[in-house]
Amino acid sequence: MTLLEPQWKFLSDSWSMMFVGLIAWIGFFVLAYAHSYFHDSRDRLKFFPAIIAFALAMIGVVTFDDLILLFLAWEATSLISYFLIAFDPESPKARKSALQALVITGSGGLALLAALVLIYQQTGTLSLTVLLSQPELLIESPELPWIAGLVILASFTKSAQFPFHFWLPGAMTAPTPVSSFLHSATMVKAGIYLLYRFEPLLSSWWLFKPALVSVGLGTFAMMSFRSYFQKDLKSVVAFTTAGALGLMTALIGWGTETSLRAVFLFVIAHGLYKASLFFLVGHLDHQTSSKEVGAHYGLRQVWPKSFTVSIFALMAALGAGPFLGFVAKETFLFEFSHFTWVVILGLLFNNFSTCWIALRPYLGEKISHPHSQENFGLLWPVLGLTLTHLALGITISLWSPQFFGSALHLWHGFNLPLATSLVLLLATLWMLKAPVPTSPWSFHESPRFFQLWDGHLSVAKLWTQKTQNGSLTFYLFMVFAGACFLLMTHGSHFSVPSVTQVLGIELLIAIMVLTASVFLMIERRVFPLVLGLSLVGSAASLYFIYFGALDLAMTQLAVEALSLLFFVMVLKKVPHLLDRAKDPRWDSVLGRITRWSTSVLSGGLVFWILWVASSTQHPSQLRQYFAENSLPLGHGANVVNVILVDFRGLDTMGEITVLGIAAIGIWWMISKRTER
Amino acid sequence: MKKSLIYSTALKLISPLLWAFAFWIYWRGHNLPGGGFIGGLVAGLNGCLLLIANHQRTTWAGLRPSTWVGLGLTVALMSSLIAPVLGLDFMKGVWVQWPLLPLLGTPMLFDLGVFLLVFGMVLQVFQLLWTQKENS
Repeated sequence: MTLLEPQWKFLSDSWSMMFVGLIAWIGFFVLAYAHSYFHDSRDRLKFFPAIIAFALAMIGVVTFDDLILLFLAWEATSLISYFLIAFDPESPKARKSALQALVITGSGGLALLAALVLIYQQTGTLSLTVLLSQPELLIESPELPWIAGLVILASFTKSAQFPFHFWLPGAMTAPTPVSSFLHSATMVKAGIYLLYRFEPLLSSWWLFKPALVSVGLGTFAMMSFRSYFQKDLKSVVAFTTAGALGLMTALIGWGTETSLRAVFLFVIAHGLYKASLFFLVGHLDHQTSSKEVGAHYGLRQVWPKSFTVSIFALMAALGAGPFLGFVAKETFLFEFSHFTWVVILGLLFNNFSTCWIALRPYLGEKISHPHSQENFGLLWPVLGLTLTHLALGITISLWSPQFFGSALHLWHGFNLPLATSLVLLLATLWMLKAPVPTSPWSFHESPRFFQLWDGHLSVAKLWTQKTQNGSLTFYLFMVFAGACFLLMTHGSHFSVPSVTQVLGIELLIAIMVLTASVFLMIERRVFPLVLGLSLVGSAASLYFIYFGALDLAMTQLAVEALSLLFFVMVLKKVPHLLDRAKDPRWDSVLGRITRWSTSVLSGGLVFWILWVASSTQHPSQLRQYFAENSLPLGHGANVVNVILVDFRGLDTMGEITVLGIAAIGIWWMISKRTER
Repeated sequence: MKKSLIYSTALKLISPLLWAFAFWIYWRGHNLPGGGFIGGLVAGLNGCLLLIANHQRTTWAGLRPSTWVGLGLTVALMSSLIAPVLGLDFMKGVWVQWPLLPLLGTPMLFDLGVFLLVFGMVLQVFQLLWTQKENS
């Protein structure tokens, strides 16, 4: 089995390396930003280790060749993001959002695991390199629809695609440095990474392209539209992020060389500009303690530096001029000429929303928050990211043949994509006059999710209450009745053994045990019941003595003495047990008949099993081995003891450890329960 | 509960004998019926009897029952770590070849750990039941 032996091999193609660069570069600015954002040293101590662990996990996702390692890193990102979203553990809203994100991305993780198991079963390998170099292994497999469906499901949950999109706006309860890194640039891109990685393998499934294009474009249009009506600036960014991820999904589904190249460029551009938009919102929120849409105006007059930086970032976000975003946008506008109207509509609302973040707070004659200052510590990371964006745009347009084998230009004539861009820009500028929009209708997925979740929990609770009601009698009844049921339905292939010779002493002991058992069944007083149980055990030890198992007999007798002592103690301390026999429910005819029949049946079945077991002679080589080697190897003549402490010492070690744990459990049960 | 003079006096005589008996069962266990588990049960029984005679007693040789459980587990673990220290496999029996004391080896030490753990376990449970408030 190589399944659980991780292969520490790393991918180093352009797709992985681009992600590593993006994570490291944006991560650097996020760390710088967080340094100015968090004043409290406790917050810093919480944030920095977590975000670095997250970045490492994310780099793992995008570089591991072994799918199992990829899966582990994938789950690690979900888990760390859970802690980061619930950064303020005292806020119930943050905890709820974190739980929602974890449940959704976590279930996607399970889908990914299922896909990996299927891939391994079908191809015998979990190495991405092998899978990609021999695509026929997967493409010709009959399970391809399942694998593709599961991988798509995992990606959709992680990348917040419809109908799993709502966790992303919910996750905005996290502090801004967290959101800017996890929910724009890295974690949500893991789904895109996976889809792009698997695209050559899964695109031969007929539903791959329709599913990705329709869901992706649908999410893009819907989320962009809704982003415009959000009341909270961070939600605006969150919805546009989900929309942009939808566009990437659609482009991957489209599957042409150009569309994949557009995804490649768009991932970089989006990571850079979305992180800087988050930084800007965080700056507003941090300096004025308000991130409501429309709460800021006229800041241009008091915050000149912020205004300049915002304009710069806005240009990058709108995909203007020589920025990389422009190249990316032109590429996919060119490619998506079939869906021009959907894309244009989505882009339009996307642009409006972006203006709410980066432009509207600075316009106007009146000034909100005149006393708050701008904080350059929170602004220079925006500048850094936007400059990177610009530099990449120029670099790519100058040297693209070296990167892609074909040229990407900033200027390729006055064609339809360029015209579209211009119209979009003009429309966006026109919309700046519009008042704060009110949503024509309201959507609430999150309460629905929690209704579902609470329903799930209450079913689980009901089930637990019914099956784990705390009554030992009930547990024993279920165990014995279950065992009887299984044996009666599945035990029929055992032959009925012939009657062997019965010794007189055996008969005598059997009569003793049976008499005591019948007494146990009809007796109602508790104390005589305890004595009757003791009698059964002692009679059994007689049997052990007769057949020479002295160790067993000694143990049995000591245990009998101790349990008698314990029973007496329990009865003395819990006197209401003595009254139980008078309880009408306990004493009802139906209850007695049920208990009698169960005990007679299970006793009879055990008898039958032992009978079958003892009448079939399996020549045991172990017995002979232990008998011969006990003295020479174990230096002891008592074979039982030598087996316990030497031959099978490790088992004994485990057993006494369990005994020690049981002691702790009993201590808790007796001392803590009565304290309450 | 009233104390019985006869019971406690008799126990003064019987208890040392029971300690010795328990240890003897453990010691002979390697060659004759017996062993650490049974020895521990007998020692635990003896402890229960002593506890009935003396309400207030909480420690045995200065250690609480839970400590005896931990001590037993530690002794058993240590005995199994002797062999790896000497470069042998984990838990392999190491015996001292010394004619005056024929039973000296790690399996005996291991069995002693079992003895101590079972002793502590029995006392732990009994003591909890014994010292509980009456009306629970």
